Amino acid sequence: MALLEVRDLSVEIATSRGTGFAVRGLNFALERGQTLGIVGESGCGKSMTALALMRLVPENARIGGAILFDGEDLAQADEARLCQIRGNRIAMIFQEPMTSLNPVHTIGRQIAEPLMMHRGLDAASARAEAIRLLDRVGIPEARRRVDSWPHQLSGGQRQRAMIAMALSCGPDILLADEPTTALDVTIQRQILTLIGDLVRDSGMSLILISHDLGVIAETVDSTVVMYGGMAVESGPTARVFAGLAHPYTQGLFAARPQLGQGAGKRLATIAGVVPDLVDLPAGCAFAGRCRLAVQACRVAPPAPQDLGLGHSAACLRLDAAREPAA
Amino acid sequence: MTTSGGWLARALRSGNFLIGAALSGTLALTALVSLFWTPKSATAISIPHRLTQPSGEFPLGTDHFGRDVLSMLMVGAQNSILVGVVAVGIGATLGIALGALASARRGWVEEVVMRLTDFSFAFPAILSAIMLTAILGPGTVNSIIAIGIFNIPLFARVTRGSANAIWAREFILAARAAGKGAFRITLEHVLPNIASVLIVQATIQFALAILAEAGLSYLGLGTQPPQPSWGRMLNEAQTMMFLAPRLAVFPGIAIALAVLGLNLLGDGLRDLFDPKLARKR
Amino acid sequence: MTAVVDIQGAVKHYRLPRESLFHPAPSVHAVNGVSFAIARGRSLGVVGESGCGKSTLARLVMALEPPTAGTVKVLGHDLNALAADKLRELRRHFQMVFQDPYGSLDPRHTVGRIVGEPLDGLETRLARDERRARIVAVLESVGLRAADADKYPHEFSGGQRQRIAIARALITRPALIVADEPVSALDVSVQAQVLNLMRDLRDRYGVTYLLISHDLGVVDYVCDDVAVMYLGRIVEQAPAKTLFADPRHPYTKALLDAVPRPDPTNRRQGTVLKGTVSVETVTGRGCPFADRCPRVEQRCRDAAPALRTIAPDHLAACHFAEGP
Repeated sequence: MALLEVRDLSVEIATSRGTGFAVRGLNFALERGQTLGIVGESGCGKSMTALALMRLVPENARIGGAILFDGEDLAQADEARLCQIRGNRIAMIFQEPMTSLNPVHTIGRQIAEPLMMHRGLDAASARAEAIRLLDRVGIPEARRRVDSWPHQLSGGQRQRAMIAMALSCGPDILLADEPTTALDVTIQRQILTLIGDLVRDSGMSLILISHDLGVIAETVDSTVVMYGGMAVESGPTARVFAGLAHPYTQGLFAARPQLGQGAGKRLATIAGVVPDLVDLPAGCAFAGRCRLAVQACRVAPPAPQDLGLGHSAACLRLDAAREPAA
Repeated sequence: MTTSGGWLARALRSGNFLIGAALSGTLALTALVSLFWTPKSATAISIPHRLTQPSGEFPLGTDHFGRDVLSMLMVGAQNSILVGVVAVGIGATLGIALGALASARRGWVEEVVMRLTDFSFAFPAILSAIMLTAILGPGTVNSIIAIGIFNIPLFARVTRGSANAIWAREFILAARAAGKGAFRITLEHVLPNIASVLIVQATIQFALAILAEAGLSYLGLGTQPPQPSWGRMLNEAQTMMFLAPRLAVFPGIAIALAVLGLNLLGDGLRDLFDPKLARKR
Repeated sequence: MTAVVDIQGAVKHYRLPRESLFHPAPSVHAVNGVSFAIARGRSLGVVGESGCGKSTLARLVMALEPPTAGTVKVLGHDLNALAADKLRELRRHFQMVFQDPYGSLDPRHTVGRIVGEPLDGLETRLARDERRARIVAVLESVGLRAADADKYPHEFSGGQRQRIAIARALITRPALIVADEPVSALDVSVQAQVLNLMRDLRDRYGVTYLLISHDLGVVDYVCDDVAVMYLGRIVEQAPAKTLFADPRHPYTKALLDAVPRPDPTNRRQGTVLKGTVSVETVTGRGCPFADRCPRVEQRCRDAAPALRTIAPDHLAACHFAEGP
């Protein structure tokens, strides 16, 4: 049995303009020790998926489907049970380490807190553990830094401190929502390397959410590409990046300015804008921007087509998409 | 362009705005009507009718001098509006100018302006107003000036605080890159963006000015007899508290409704002025 | 021909708030002796990580801040020696596009008014019709419609807003557009649209860009030359092709190496750069990069390497730049 299995997950958000479908019919499974990436542009539902897994969606959102964590459906669990799981067995790190650390508490106190809450450690041993964790995530002089305030750390160090907090209870799953987006590339590299090492050493699973195809390609075993709240393509990372089956994945890939490509080739763009979640088309969410769309695409959302070896794409025009763009 | 139709349509849908506008409108209308007509004279003393209960002849009864309470309230509305408009006008004009100047110039100008406002905040407003009227002498005009002066630092502070936030925005940088000076940027970018805050502040200050005038009149430093004022009505009702509590209740209700109406109007206006809410597609 | 931009020895210090009554207020050396010139038609990209001073540099070029030392010339005029009205008149020739497509447009103004704003600085006031015609023309040139002039910024998506910002920069037909991270707030697919637009405008109107970005790929796509900044200094400068093919400064190499590539079959095990950019005042005499450099030696800590020509059109500030 998979550690985490998401079945037909949906998140509906009630807005003043109607119901927004942030996530629709999402399925994926995550084995223990495995890493999964969710990639997509803003508004594709990737962050809402992460929040749904933790059941931390906004008040006006409703979750549908099943989130089977170790056989237990988190979508049905009550708040008390969720509090035992959050931060303890599933831990989360966010994009903005400055706003997700509390500025009025020291780093050490914030790391020690979940240890005292979930593990029942006393203050002294929690502090010792906090120092060990800070050292583990590569913060120099951990013994001194444990008493630092968040504003005294640089952006990269804050993200390290966040990771130390997330690791404190030895979670089964680390959920990282754009953990390096606010950081510089050299720091991003450090943090991704750290996360990779930690996952390998501790045997926990990782769900990494990012808009950056490069970050996903370098970090995770399997990938889900999301668009308009749905998974348009998924499979082992190597297969997805080698295949680029779905027209949206292809477009995303071609739109990236690549180093060394220089002034030569013109960037391929995806015409139009991301659809409004309140006003989604009846058919494939991408149909309005897809160069291959035909009438059938606009009728109903296409079902995922199996491409072998766990790779699948939700598109009716996979054959046409396989040929190079005119 | 925001069409006037859209503006009006949204105004009609906003509960706050409607109630606020209705209450404020009633206040203004009452004051207006009272200039030409009141049910009875507001100043005529008639001892035989003193302290009559509300009746057909005196809808809200009479006070201890036999004056018609309704007429007094109506004429008192003039007074309240006058005080509110002029005092807030003085405070807003000078305060916004000072605050915007402090924000645009920063440096020592800001320091001086802000230390001056701090200085004035060290005294409770009503106490300062009492001091001023004590110096200038009691009366409507002097109480208006006193209240107006103590509105200045309030507006200066609010203006500077919100203007500083606007000055930090990138579109200000864009305007500077387009060659605009501080004065034009203040007029074109800063003030329109803080207008909603200032309008809310103005309505609150308007309400507070009415209260302050009532307070000064209550202490005998504001409007002088025989000119009716809500504050002095309260004052005079005090001695009759157990005999005729309604004499305190009616001006109290009038003040409360006026203040409530103005605050609601301010909230409603703030929403109406936001272009984000204006053209939701 | 006069250079579009000519900066000599630009320095900008910012004073930080005092931490103690008894010590002088500390200062940050945001730009610490930068010199370069941009010839017409040779767009320059400035890359570097946060805190390297690249945005401060943009503000110096736009005369939004005076330099602490050094001169900034645009089209041959020393911006900080000009009288205010002359500077205002000159501004039509250099315009700016900002990073945040949400913060750089006044939410209370219509798009037409926003885009027309630089026209207000012109010597001659345009007639109403002519002004409107210019606004419509420039909106259409960035792919928006004439009807959009009457809308407000919040009615547009991020990419469209950035088009509006570009239209505003373009309306006076400037020789130079300074673009500070113009696409970093945009999604990849939208980013490509804006980058293509920037290139089209360059080809059509002969605009020269000073493009500030942390993204090497973006700079490579739009610019002819690239300068890499580290802690307020240029550490390497060369034509884009040369710089990305043959980086000579270890920091440039590390930066290139750190860019994640969408190729899961070829995960690099390259060296990970240690440490972070220190925000503390740099007053040491050595190379500013010495603390993080993988090949640091004693001489790097003793003397800072000068930015010098190591090959035609290729400048680098490293003691080992000539070596392998």
